[in-house]
Amino acid sequence: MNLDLPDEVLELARSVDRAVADAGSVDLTRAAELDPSVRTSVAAPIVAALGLADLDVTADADAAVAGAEVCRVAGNHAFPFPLAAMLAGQHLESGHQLGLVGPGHPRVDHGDLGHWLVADTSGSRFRATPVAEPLGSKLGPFVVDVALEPLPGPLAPAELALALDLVSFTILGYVERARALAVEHVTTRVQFGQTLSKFQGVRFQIADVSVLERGLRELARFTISRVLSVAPDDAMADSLALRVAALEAATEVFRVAHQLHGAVGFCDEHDLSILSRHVQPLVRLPVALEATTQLLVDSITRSPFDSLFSAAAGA
Amino acid sequence: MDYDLGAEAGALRNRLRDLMRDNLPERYLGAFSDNPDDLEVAQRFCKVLAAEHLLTLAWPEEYGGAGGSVWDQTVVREEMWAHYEPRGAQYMGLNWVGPAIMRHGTAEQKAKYLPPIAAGETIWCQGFSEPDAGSDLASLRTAAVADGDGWRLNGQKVWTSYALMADHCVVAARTGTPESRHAGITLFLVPMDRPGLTAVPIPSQLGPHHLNELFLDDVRVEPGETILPVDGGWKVMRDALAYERVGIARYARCDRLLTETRSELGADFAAAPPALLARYARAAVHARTARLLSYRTIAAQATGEIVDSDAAAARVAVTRCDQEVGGVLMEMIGSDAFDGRTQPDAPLHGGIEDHYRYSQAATVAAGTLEMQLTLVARDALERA
Ligand SMILES: Cc1cc2nc3c(=O)[nH]c(=O)nc-3n(C[C@H](O)[C@H](O)[C@H](O)COP(=O)(O)OP(=O)(O)OC[C@H]3O[C@@H](n4cnc5c(N)ncnc54)[C@H](O)[C@@H]3O)c2cc1C
Repeated sequence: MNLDLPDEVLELARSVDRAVADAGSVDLTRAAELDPSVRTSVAAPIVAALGLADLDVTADADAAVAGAEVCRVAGNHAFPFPLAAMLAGQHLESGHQLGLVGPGHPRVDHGDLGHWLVADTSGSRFRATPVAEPLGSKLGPFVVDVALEPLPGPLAPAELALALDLVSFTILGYVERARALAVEHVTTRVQFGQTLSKFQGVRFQIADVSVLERGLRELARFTISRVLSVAPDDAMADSLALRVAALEAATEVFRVAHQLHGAVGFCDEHDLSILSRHVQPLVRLPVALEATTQLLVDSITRSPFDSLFSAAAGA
Repeated sequence: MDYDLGAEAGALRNRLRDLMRDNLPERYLGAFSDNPDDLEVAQRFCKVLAAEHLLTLAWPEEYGGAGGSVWDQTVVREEMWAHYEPRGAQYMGLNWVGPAIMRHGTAEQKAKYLPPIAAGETIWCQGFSEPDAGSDLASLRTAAVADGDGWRLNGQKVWTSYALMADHCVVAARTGTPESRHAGITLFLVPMDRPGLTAVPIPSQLGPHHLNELFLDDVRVEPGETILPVDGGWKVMRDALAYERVGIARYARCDRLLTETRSELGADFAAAPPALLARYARAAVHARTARLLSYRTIAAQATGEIVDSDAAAARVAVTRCDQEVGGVLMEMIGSDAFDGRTQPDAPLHGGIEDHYRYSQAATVAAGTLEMQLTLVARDALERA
């Protein structure tokens, strides 16, 4: 049992964090909203300079963990680039990103950037091409309508699982930042002559979201560390479970972060507003919480969820 | 990163399961029932474990333990709790009373008290809580007054689990001034048959033995029965509560019940209302998460000390999951939910009903949910 991240992974995560912070962190996302070409003129070169185009997340468990941590850090900054899709796709077909689509009309976050393979949640594969400009809406600034062209053969379950996991790690990054912003706010904002953090009602909300964040982090690390080695069915169940946890945490942590910020949290001047809008495509595509849970139910109905006792019960 | 508990832990898990299969009645639900045979089973099983050197696996070798790693101990805790704690009330002595005596006891106390615990021959109970001292334990008032070379105890304890089964009680009493709070508490090792000590059961929805009152009326304590130093009891109590924080592997029973309910229901499982299946799926995710949070605490313990906020976060997740699983599974078994262990056809022999009732207290016993949240919040806000 060793729950520590490898040193090389920590080092990589630190360098990604430094590079994105130096480029303005959430301000870079604000800039990209005003001018979407910032994604190719500023964000893409950062990714290239970090050497992430050479990271094969399927090489081994450490590489998968490294890719996942990169996504988490990107989420910390609401980095305006499809990093998870890039890491999930580039080893499948050079220069390609792997997107995930649900039922309904197909949409891909940042679908206008580069080349896209996409898969649905059953693993059917398609080539996707943008049919419009990014929506530019509040909740899906870079979401793009795409046309799908079927490709033969399914995507391997481990690849699908990995793509889901990288998105979940990105969500974890958003959750971490939202919780940190909430802590920062309640420890500085004064009402009734004391910081909000002195009120037990506030403290308990901070505790609740801390437990969610801690739990999500542990589950995420567990899931990514074995995604390449467990049986394909278990890998998918793991990744659906992780996505369920990520969506539960995101929903609650952003709700609480907004509540504790009061009115200021809704202003785009505040990072929380940018984060809570930009996390939306991640939690809704390919499918949101209830549909993800349904996929997990389907999996559990077929074979028991892997636990301390599932082997004894016989799959 | 590596989440494998290792080949030895796997072998230990299988060995424990084999021992339970061979030595416990099918679907044993623990010692705490109205049927004295259930206690007998637990007492016998402790001796079996002792003979296999598994009872004190976690103890250092110098005290007759096997010096097992924290991960070996984790496997024991998981397997015992998942199988309704077949050590009965003895886990108290093993988990914290024994270790507290090792750490703070005199040579004579170690020689007197440790061997019977290691042999699986004795039950201890914990007399901390009082009618007016619950979460605010430092306000306890049971008084200890010097009496020659010993002490006299007067007062009342409450919620004392297993008091009617126990041979000894660790009584926390005030030796300092009434206002001394943490700085004026001493622990006493009192035999349950000492004159003036009376245990009275409290009927409860949790079932027999979990809750009792303990009255202390001029109870004499002999010189060797004090954990020294006088007034230094709080530190020992804190250590004890830290043990309890990682002590109960509730997630393991959750895993077991979730898996076994699914197989027991067979085709009816998939036919459950979709919303209920969704709750089941999420409960399974939460049980896994709770386990991983516990492992985080244990990993810290393996390399140093338990981190209070880690342990508290794990307990929040574990105890909430315990109740969630109880709620989901009770709903899955519909009108069979009323059938406890004495009904012949109860689902999982009453295991779900028993779990549901006991899980209601998970967020109160051994430090309430709110006290855990307080610790987590302190860490989150002070690290900022
Ligand atoms: C099954 C079971 C077995 C037990 N076994 C033992 C035993 O063997 N020995 C023993 O000594 N004790 C035992 N206990 C007692 C247990 O430790 C106490 O119940 C627990 O510490 C809470 O104390 P209380 O019940 O007096 O509740 P209280 O402290 O009165 O709390 C009631 C409610 O108020 C909340 N509350 C209290 N203070 C605050 C605060 N500052 N901020 C916010 N909320 C607060 C609590 O969280 C709780 O929700 C047992 C309890 C149970 C349920």
